[in-house]
Amino acid sequence: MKILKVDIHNLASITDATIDFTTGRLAEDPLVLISGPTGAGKTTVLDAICLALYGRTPRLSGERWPERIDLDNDNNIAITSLVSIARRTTCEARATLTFEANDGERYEAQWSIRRTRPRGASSGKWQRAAQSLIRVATGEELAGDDARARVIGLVGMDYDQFIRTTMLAQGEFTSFLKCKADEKASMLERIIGAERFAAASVAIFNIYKTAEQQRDNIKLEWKTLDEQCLKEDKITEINALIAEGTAKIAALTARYESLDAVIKWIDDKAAIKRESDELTARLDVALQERYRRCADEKARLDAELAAGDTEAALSGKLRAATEAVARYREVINELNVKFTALDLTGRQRRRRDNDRRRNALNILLTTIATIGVKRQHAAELAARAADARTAADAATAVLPASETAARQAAEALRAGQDILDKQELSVKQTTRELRASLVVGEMCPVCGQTVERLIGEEQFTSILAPMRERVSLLREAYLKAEAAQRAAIAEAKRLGQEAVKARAQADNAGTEVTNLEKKNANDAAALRVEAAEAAITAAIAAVDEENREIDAKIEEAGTLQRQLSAQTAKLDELRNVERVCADDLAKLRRRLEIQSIVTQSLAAIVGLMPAWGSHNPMAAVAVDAERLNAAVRQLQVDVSGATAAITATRRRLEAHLAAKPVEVADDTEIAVLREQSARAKAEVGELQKEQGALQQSLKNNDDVRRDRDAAATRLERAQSNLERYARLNSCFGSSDGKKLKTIALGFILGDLLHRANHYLRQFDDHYELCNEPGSLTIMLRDRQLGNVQGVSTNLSGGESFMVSLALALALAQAGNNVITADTLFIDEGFGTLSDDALCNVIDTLETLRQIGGRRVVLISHIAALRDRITARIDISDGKVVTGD
Amino acid sequence: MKILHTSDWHLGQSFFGYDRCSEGADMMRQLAVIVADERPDALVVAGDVFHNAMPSNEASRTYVAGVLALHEALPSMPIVIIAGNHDSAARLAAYGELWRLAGVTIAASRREAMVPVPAGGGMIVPIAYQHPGALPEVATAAIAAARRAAGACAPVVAVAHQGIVGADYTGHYRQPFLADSLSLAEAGLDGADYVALGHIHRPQPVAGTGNRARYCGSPLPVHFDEAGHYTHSVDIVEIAEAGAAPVIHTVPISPAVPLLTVPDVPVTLDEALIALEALPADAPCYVRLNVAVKGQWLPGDAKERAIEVAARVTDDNGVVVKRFCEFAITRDEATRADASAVTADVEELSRMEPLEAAERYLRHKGMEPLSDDERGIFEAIQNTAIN
Repeated sequence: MKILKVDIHNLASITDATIDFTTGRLAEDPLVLISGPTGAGKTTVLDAICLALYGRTPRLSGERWPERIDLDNDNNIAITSLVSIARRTTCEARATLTFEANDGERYEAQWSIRRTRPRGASSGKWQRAAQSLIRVATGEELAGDDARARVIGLVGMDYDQFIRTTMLAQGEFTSFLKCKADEKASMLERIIGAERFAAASVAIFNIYKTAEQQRDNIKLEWKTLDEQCLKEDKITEINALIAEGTAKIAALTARYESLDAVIKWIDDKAAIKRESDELTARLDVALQERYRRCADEKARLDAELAAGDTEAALSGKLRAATEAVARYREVINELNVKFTALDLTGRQRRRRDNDRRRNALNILLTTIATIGVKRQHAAELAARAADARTAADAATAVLPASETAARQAAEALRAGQDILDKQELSVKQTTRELRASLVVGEMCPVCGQTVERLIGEEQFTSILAPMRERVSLLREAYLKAEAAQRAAIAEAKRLGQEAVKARAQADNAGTEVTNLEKKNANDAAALRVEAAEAAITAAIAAVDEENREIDAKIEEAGTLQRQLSAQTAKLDELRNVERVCADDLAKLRRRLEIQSIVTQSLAAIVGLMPAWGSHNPMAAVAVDAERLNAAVRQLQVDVSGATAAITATRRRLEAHLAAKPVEVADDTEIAVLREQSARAKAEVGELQKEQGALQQSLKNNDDVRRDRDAAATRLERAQSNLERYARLNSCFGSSDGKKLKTIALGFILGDLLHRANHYLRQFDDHYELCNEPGSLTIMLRDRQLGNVQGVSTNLSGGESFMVSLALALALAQAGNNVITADTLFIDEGFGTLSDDALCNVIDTLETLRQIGGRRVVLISHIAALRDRITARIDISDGKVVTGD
Repeated sequence: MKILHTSDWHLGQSFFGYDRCSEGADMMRQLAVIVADERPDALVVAGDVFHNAMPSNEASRTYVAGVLALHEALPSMPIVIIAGNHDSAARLAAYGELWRLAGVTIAASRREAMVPVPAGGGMIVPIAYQHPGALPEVATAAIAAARRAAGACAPVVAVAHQGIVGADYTGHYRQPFLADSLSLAEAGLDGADYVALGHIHRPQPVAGTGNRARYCGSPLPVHFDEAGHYTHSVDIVEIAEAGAAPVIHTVPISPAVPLLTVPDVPVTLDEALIALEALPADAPCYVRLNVAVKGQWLPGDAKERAIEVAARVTDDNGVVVKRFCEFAITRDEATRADASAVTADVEELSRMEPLEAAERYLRHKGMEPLSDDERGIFEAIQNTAIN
């Protein structure tokens, strides 16, 4: 944007002033000087420009117009209030800037304030400042915030940027030089955003912190576990306790074991004694009872045996029975032989065969008769067939005649019809004419006959009538003949058919007969007889005779059989008797045997139990010898078993007593011993529990130690993981992202300083500006020696000025936004420069217009500048004079 | 017409803390001798009489004495002095009336009267230093007026203080800021038969004009780079008549206290100090040591050592003979290249990833670069940040 004109009304020391930058030397010269005595209002020009555009001015520390000041008079206005810029005792103040904006149009920006009361009364309250923007070409006007916003758009800069690039206000432009790193950072960030660096820095910090946290957690874990671990001496102590306990347990165990042994011995002794007594009791009571019963039964047995048949008697009976049996056997054998000789079955078979043969022969006979009949029948049929044939032949022979007759009749009919037709024709009209033309003696064109006479119409018709009659007669005859022929044909056919049928029948019958004859012949052959009636009859008779013989023999056999069965029955009876005898004998023998056995057994028992021998048996009710035998046997076994057991038990008792432990005194109370043993056991139990606890604690310790060691490994790993990030974090990590952001901004700053050095070199070529990598502190460095001569905060006034100017010029270039005003205002500061330095600065500023298109307006009271710079704005006594 | 053309006296220059007024006086004396020898029709001083806008009293005294001596060398010779950019024009012109009594015209404002040269029959048009914007109008008008006044055949000489396109600034101090802006024609100076220019310290004709426009250069080297590359001189310009080609010959001026760069090629500090030591003890000189540096910097005590070595030799008055001023440092390529990476401009930084910033930082702090593991961590952070 181009600054064209500034109008000032009642600001600070200036009553009214217009500075036109578009004419005269102010327009042409690259350097313009605003000079004047101190307090004349030189800086007010700058204030006016700032107020007109933005409603703020750097001199009043950029404070915006406060809401409303409730003041009665000027004395209570705040020092930094904008109101103070208004000239005392006035009631209105105004600053107007005419400029050409980036769109090429002219605008007028204005700031004004006034008191409430009308002009003249200088004690009203100051109202809020008004801001306006007018587009000169069209006159359209914006006000207030709209105006301010539009100004920013047109100028391309907001207040801060404008100040930074266009106004180097008194004492202010060293601010960048001297400000803290944070402020520098925020300023640099306005040139370029550095968010992603900050984000990366924060991310690194977070990763590191997380890793650190993890490591610390694991460390805490480890520490806790470590504290829980038992110390060495404690472990030793525990082991000692365990050993001690074990020894005690062993001793106690031995003690109670020995006690238990004694107790057991005593218990066993008692048990054995008890057993022995028991057995003895059983023997005495139960077994003895059984013995008694058996003895009783034996007695009875003896009695029974004495009462029954003796053995010898029974033997005799048996012998007799056996002999009888043998006798009968012999008889039966004889009968059998006879019977066999008769061959009953064979004869019976023969008889059956004969019956069969007889039947077959009878059949043959009948068949022959049948054949005769059939033959006769067949002959009849043949005769009939021959007749039929004859008739058929006769009928057929007649046929041709009738055919001929029919034919002839047809011919006649046809001829007659022909003639009739012709005659008819000649009657017709046409032929009438023709007829008319006929001449006798010529040939008739129709019938081809010579015309003999010409006949009149009436004659023709009468001729036709008989002709027609004749034709009809002929027709009748024809029909009749035809019918006759047809009938003849039919008849012939019928007869033919009949003949054929009759023939067939005859043939069938003949065939049947032949078949029967054949069959018969076969059958006869099979029967070995001629197929003749006589032979067959003879054969039948033979058969009958044989049958009679057989029957007789069969009867004989029957008789024998009856005899045989009677004998056999007898035999069986005898055998039964034999058997019974044998049985009885055997039984007796057995009983006797048992008797002896039982006697022996009982004797043996008594041998074992002599006390029982004195039993007098009573007679039992009934005796089952076998059962008795079994019972006695069992009893014997039981008794011997029982006595053996008793003996064994007694022996055991003796052995047991022999093995008596030493400690047992006869008066030893088992209850006391038991108590002692129980006590010892309990004690052992207690001790074992203690042992268990101790062991457990050792085991737990092992677990804890294992965990702790695991934790130690994890700690190591966490630590090394942490160290991965350590360097990154220390170099680049920060919780607010500052570190990396500062590094990035440091590059920008370096670039800025590089540019500033270009300018600075012109001012004073001994120094250059630099910053440490990663730092935003600006330092001055000897161009040749490289040593840092001063930090920017420690520069002299003149050095500060030069450096700040160089920075300001560089800052104005920095960033992609190269929009600047066409004028650079520098307010004071030149007084700090020595002659040479001043000369260099002015030389440089002069050339700014050539290279950057910027004109420089200096505000200074320095006389040397007045000499040097020809385009001047002099301000004094509230007036402004421009010119040489 | 014969003119002695000089400029850029830079009287009152404070050179690394040493005052050069005596050299200036010596130079003026030489000038007076040349005036006496050559007997020019006029003497023009084309600006930058003083080194700065507020010359010291000593410098003023030198100036006055010197100019008066010039006048006395040839009282009939008009002397024209114009203000240059270093001068304070107003200050120069303050005693203008007084100077007129000595035949000296001081031209310091926009509109100055032309100065006729009786002896040579030509006209001198003094044009004080203007801003390039104002110059063409003023120059054209002034030269045109002079032409009219001088007549058809009288040569017109314009005296101006300006940078002209194509000038050779070799050795000039602070080159980049002396921007050429105008050609001769653009400056409106091409109407004169000879343009006596000041501002550039190397004597040279303006390219493309033959000898019609010329810088006479400064009679004394103003800075080390000007000494040793070319001789300093004043010009004697002879113009027969209007339109004729000027004939130039230069008369060298020898500085009372030369500016020396020792040695000629860059050497190590120690060797340079030895060379300093070896300089003759009786010839005062200003010394700049030519040092090759490994890395960025000289040792911190280099300056002290040099001053100490130089101070070993003093003259009768106790003034140091060899006046050590500064070092000329030559750094090796690698160092120079490396220096640039410590900064990043806005464009670069807007593209830079945090990882790169970190790596650069470590490199320039001279710390261990990032290990692969660390780089991996960084990249992971970057990627998550992006996503």
